[in-house]
Amino acid sequence: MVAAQKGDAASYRRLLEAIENWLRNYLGAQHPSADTDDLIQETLLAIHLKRATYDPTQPLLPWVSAIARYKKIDFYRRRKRRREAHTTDFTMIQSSKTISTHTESAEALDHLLDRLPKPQADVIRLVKIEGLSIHDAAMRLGRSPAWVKVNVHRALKAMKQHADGAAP
Amino acid sequence: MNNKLIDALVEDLQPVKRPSPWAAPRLFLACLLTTLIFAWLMRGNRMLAADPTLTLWSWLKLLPFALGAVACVWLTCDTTIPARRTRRWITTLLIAAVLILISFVTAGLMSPDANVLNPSAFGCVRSIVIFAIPPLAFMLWFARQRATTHPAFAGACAGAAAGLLGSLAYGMSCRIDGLAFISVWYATGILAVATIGSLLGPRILRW
Repeated sequence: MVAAQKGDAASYRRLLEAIENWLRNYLGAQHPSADTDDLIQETLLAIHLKRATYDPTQPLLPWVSAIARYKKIDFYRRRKRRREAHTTDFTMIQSSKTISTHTESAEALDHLLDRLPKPQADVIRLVKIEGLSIHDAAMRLGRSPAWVKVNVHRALKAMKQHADGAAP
Repeated sequence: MNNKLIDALVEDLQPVKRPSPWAAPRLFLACLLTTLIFAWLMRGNRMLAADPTLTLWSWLKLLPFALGAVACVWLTCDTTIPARRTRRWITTLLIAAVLILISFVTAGLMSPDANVLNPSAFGCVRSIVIFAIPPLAFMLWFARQRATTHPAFAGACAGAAAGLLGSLAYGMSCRIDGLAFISVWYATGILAVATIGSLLGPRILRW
């Protein structure tokens, strides 16, 4: 990590791979595999974004596990909130009997985007609808290209799940 | 997917600056100055330095708040780094501040002229909360730049530190020197700001 903080890419890759394996064991024992993958990605991204906060005089593992634990709690809290919002959404949609038309129209896309967390919806609008490059979208949002890539991937996955779930 | 993610993260790698060991003292000085300037602007000549009748007690009554403020600012700084252990001297200082405050309450309540229910009590609490706003904003902004893994606790620490700094500034202009009054109402103001901090923490310090 000390080398990575100085910008050494090879050391950083080895470190991230080692952390990924460690996270798989750490989180995999407690959670279903789909969640584990999402959590690993979130934690790796968080480690990347906050790597400056690692203090080389302290051991690395407690630092990694504190971030993993925080991300895990945040992940489940967010999912719970989203699930509650979706339940309300779904009840409203069912009562107006508009599911079939939504999935076949431009409104369906808006509807799917509305269901995503704001950062994911923003990257989909910029990259997939407006056609900006990853780099330009990152500049526009004031984030790193890696952050944009991860959010595009996760947004597409979530949209597919929502579309599959909403299909009659 | 994780390999692609690792590729993207490695590609994005830039050298970064590690947290400075001087971050906490700098944060403390910045917060202290901000609070004092703000209090001076609000209270002007009623601040202690401008009062020719100040006594040793006028300074001594501020001791637990000064000790507590130092400890809480350092503690806030520590909570912004994942897995950073609280240093022993911070715990010692916090315990010392609490013990002094408890001794103030005990001595104050036993005193025959205890004036806990002074009419200016509400104004005291309100002033402490108002004086604490700039340092609280400053500390939350500082914590947001880092990686807080316990946002509610970090918010509470920042709130307690801001409340203690607010008490320090208010104590310089408050002419009521009764031990019980100081302990009860100043502590109420500090608790109020700490509660505000603990409520703001999870909303502001998420990352």
